[in-house]
Amino acid sequence: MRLIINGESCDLPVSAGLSLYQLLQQLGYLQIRSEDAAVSGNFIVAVNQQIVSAALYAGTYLNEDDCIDILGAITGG
Amino acid sequence: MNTENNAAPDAGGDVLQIAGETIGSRLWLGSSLYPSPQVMGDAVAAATPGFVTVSLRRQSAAQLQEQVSEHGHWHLLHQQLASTGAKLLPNTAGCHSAREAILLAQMARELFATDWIKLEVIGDDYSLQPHPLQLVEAARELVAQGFKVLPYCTDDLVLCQTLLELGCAAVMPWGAPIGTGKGLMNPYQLKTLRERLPQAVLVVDAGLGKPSQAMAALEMGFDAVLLNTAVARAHDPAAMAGAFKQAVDGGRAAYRAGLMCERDQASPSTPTLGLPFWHQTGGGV
Repeated sequence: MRLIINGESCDLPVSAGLSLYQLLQQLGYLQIRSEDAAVSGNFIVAVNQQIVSAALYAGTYLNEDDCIDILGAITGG
Repeated sequence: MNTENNAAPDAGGDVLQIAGETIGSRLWLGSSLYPSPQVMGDAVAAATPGFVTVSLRRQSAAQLQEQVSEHGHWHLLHQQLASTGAKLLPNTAGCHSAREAILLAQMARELFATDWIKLEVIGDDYSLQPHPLQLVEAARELVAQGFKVLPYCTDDLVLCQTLLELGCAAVMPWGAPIGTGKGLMNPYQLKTLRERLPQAVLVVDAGLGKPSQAMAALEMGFDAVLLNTAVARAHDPAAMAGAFKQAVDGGRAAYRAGLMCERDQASPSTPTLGLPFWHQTGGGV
């Protein structure tokens, strides 16, 4: 299945039925840890420019050519 | 007393309130461009700012892990926010249309768990001048969605009036283009904004290079200043943050005290009446 992840085309060795939760786990996002619990898991996901809350990751199934954006905090002015 | 401004200091102190929230300081600081996360943290600690601006971008898991690690920007910033009481102010930097800015603001609200947004829609990549039309369109929608919108804008009076009428919590005209350090390029227009929008919260955002320029903005009656590069690019950012803090406090105190009106003719400070040679003529000593 082909997905656009953070603007880059990615061919994944899976057929239909991949959930957003599974994708994030495969990519390592769900394994991010910090000593400060308040800053763990600090990212936001949008599928086709629609924000998906964490509670819906497991129930969100991805389709061919879906665009997944995963954004995190950066410094800014 | 005839003073430049007619600010009537409120008896209850000098608290900056925006959208019903108390903002702890009139110095607002950006978190970007510092030589290291530790230096950024030190600068924030020295400034004790009212807001610290942040942003959001696409990131890999490895990049995110770095941010939240013990010595990462986000980890250290979070610690400083907790100790200083500063609020997070996410921005929509890099957006060129209302549609982009609205989506990024929505994502920022989810990510940072705040309704505050520094709304930035760039209209010209060379000067980083805000796009007034896209800015108004984005502000209208974000206010409707419950955001506390602080738009980065030009110093155009009608634009600022329009943004305030839409429900923006404050307006933040530029002093000069972002990162230039040129200071208050158009003081006449900034004074006009203060005079014509007496009830509005006005913040000079961008272009400040020296503490004296921040002080001038506060003396003029601006409610706060937002800056980044002048502190982050100093040889000693923490010391510069402290200098800006003192300048902002001094400027505000001067505004509230009432600045004298400038005049063209000299006027002696020391009385001449009673001099032993009063009206003495010729052959001076």
